[in-house]
Amino acid sequence: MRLMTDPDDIDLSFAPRRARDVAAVELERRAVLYRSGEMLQLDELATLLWNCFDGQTRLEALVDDLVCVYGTDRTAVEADVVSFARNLGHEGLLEGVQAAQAG
Amino acid sequence: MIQTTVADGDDPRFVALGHHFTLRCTHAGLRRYLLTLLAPFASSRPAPTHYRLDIDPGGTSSVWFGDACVVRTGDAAHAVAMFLWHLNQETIRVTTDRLLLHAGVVARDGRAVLLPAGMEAGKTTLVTTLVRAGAQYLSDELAALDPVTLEVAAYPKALSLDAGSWELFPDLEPDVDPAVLPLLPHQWQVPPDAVRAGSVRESATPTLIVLPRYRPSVRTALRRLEPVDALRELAGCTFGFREAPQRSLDVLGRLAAAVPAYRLSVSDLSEATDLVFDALARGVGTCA
Repeated sequence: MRLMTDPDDIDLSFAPRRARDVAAVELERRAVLYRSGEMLQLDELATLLWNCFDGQTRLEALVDDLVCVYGTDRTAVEADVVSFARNLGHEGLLEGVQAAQAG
Repeated sequence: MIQTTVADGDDPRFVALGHHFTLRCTHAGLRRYLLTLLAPFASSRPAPTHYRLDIDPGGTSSVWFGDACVVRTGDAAHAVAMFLWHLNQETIRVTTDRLLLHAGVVARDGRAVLLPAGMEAGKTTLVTTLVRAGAQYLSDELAALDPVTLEVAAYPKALSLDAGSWELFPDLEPDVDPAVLPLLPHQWQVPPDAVRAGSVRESATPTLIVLPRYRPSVRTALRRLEPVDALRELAGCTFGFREAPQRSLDVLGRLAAAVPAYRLSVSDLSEATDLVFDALARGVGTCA
């Protein structure tokens, strides 16, 4: 049996991959995601991250890039990126991550 | 356009988007009435599916689709209503080469206004008003989008007017043989040519999206929607969205990006008509 990751265990060493059953489209650089009757809209930065969730790239590498490009405080970026990945995990949008139970 | 082709066995053939069918009806008066309603779908092409309406006003009536009994009932009007419902559902089911939205569609000079909305939003009432004011008619029920070009094909069914709209269009009351009247469903089924002769158009390019909502206590107004908000609304009106979300989003995303969308609160139909025509004149979608 394949082990599922608890969303709250996601940390900077995790390499998220977009779940295969998520439908997505980009409109004005913002992604709209759809899975199991739920639709979620991402902002531009979140869309950028979502597109990098290829199952190979660790969150810490994405944080490196964001800090380099935007010159923002690393601690805050780390917290935001991990929080974003955990939220997507809870929503069932990441491969191998256990979604929160409905209801 | 209004021409019925007689097939083998005198059963006329029709094509509604992807739905090719023939119709046989045992009640002569009702048959004439249905042929008038279905005239915009008349076709000479072979039809692989067949409807048969066995109507007995004083007894049991039934509707058959091939070998399957759609309904058997002591209420002939219910049987006719079920036939019209089935025809619509089957058209949606078998039309797989287009993305179908629950929407009214009218056009001017080939530039289409899509009016997506759920039931009871006032779609048909608004479509009827727009067609009376000069718009071309494509549908009061379905926007059938080509997934590549986004061109919308007509589904020019008879307009289904609920009782709440009858006083607005008293002249559209069906003019039928008194013997047929008890067989008709409670909704008025109005052929598009009765709304305005020659109003049917076969296809058009989406140029404007208007999401109507009948709100009698609110001033009639158009409010621009962000494309992403329009996309969410369109998704909610798309048939089969849950079964093919990626295919649907690909088409809807291009539509929402290319065509300006508005929410329309309707309390005054005349004002609503002016607003839609003004927006159509201003808004130039880039689908073409």
